[in-house]
Amino acid sequence: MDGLDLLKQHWNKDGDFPKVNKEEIRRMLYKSSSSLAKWIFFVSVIELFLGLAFNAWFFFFSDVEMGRDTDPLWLKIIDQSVNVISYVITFYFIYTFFQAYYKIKNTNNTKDLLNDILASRKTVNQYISFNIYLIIISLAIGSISFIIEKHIFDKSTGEMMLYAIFTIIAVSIIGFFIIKLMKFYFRLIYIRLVNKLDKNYDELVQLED
Amino acid sequence: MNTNLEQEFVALLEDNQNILHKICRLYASDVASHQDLFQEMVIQLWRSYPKFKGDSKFSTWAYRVSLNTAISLYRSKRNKISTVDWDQSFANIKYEEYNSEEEEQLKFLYDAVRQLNDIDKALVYMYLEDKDYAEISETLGISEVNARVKMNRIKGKIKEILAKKGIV
Repeated sequence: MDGLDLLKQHWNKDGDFPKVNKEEIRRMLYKSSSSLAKWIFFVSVIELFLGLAFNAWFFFFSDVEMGRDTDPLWLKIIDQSVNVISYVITFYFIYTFFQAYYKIKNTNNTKDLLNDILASRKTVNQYISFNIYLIIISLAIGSISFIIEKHIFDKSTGEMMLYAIFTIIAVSIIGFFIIKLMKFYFRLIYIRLVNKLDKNYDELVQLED
Repeated sequence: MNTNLEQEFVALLEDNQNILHKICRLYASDVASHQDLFQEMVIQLWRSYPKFKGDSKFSTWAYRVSLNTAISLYRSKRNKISTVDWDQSFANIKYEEYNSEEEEQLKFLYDAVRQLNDIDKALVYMYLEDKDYAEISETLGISEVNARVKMNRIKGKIKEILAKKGIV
């Protein structure tokens, strides 16, 4: 007889559990849940709205600081287009996230449930990646605006080179740190929230594929 | 607050609470986490109760939602020191107290099962509850063939764990 069959023999006899009475159950109904889905929801909402705040700041910042009079029309058009597109995309992400979140039902089969939770999280991950691209684009637009303002093209080749190298280095360093910070943040969030779900989901799909 | 729905749910849950306890026994390693998981299962069951239409038995529905809670929603607070008031009803759950030789063997078996991953534990639970493979596959969302393959692997894993301890 293998181990599990031995366990099975005792499984139903071995019911020496304490009885939780009606009053105790009733009290439990109104305690707050500490479920992973709830934490993922909170973290995601915070991230989405931080992104929205970032967009708003970018909008303000680019108008006042960068949307200089020296900017040519084409740059202003690009700048404004990026703003508008980023808002549209942000609202698309927010909509997709809430839609995915409300699809989560613990009455589904386990695989579908895990899939739905991870799908809602995936939307937010894509949104964060989108924001990183947005930061890089905004840095690029800012740099171009800066170059035009300083009339770099009218200067000597040596000075032009200097400005170009300086700009590239500055943008690279800022970009590097932003990406490092994001990776660190993701590891932190992943280990805490999504790791268990990922592992269990993989366990289920492993055989299916 | 004290609606009919609540009374009905509380009564059904009181009668079926061993389903939750049994799942907790496989997923929780101590009394505090047993209590936490039990609590979370009750919350999740209560939340989805309005959608329970009686297509299946309450017990079937309850074990599925509870397993899903253990696998997907439950966030272990193992690292935290529990500040919850010690609930008397949970105080006499036995976790590491076994006396006779047979009980000793059972203790090793439970320990072995607790070392399995969350999905494997769910399969073990359904196996011990005598659910057929059709139901196991429906609950987890995998095919019947794969449920069987997984079950065989689990038996192997348990043997391995026991062998490492020099029991088999």
